[in-house]
Amino acid sequence: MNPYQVLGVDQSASDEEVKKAYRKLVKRYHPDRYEHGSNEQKAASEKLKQVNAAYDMITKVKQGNFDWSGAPQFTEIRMAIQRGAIGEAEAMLNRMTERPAEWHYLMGVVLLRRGWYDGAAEHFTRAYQMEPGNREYEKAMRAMTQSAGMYADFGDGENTVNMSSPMCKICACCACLGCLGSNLYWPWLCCF
Amino acid sequence: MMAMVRRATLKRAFAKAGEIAPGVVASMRESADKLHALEAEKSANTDAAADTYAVLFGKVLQELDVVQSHILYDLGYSMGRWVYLIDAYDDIGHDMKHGEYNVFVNKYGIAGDIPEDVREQVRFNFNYTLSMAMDALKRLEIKQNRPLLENIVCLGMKERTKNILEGITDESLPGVGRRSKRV
Repeated sequence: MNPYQVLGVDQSASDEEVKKAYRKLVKRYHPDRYEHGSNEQKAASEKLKQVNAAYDMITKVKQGNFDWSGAPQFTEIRMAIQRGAIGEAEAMLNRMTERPAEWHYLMGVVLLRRGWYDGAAEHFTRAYQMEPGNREYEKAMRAMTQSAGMYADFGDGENTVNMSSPMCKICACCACLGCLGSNLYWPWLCCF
Repeated sequence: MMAMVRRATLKRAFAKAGEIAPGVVASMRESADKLHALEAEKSANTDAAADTYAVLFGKVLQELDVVQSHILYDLGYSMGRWVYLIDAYDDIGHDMKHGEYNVFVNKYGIAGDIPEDVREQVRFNFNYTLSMAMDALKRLEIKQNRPLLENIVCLGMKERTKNILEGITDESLPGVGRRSKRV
């Protein structure tokens, strides 16, 4: 599925344009517009699910803050991920025989989008191990660690940094005195 | 005799479910088949094994409100993933003893006590999965029972995860049949 085609917008469309197109389609296919239980309502509901999936794909890609800093052989894969063609990106990655750090990072991105979090964490860690100091890979690992940490600390009433993620072992970016000693809940803010 | 009665009851339940939500029954069969295949090849892939439940939960939940189907799918996916994995982790001891399929035993080569570094990785996996469920819940527009749902995801599931990771099990809680059973 091409999510941009489903919403009827250009790939360069702004967040506002995407949202506007999405709202228009939700209105058009809203189940309340059709007779309850009718075939038209069922068809509209199926279409609405497709529209929702397309909107979901586009917004998640936009949130991912993808950049274009990689090697040329990975550009097409990054473009596929950018337009929400996760399956295509994965197929391209699987066809490659050379698997440098960037390969692992992009495979991590693909698995993350699919909800395969174990694999995503492993690939992000591998990418960072192969290329320590790479900001893109570090950002990906940190995002996962923070989410997990935030959930673990939720309701505990303590403003401490949760460093229980196994990925914390190889990335010391949160381990500065300013983070550990402070009440900052978002350690990465102080590390830049 | 009892097995025959149970099979007949299950067959009727599937038939009834098929009348109400034909898509869901097809999804259930697909999930059971996929899980059966993974078990047959002794898969060590936690993501793939949990995906069978995750996709099913996602597909069922998204039918509750088609206007928010994408958010409900995400919530269902994360919850289904958690259900499979927490049950599998809880059953490590039993499955090792009886030579039954267990994705954690296969992945980490567990032969006795669970090493601390494995426990750490599993804890991270659970916390991240539940953080994604919480994230979906935040995006959902809920007219009633938000506090109840938040309690379940943010406290109840968290508490159960903690207990199971620390080896505290509640025998009175019914288990979820995570092993594939052909019907």
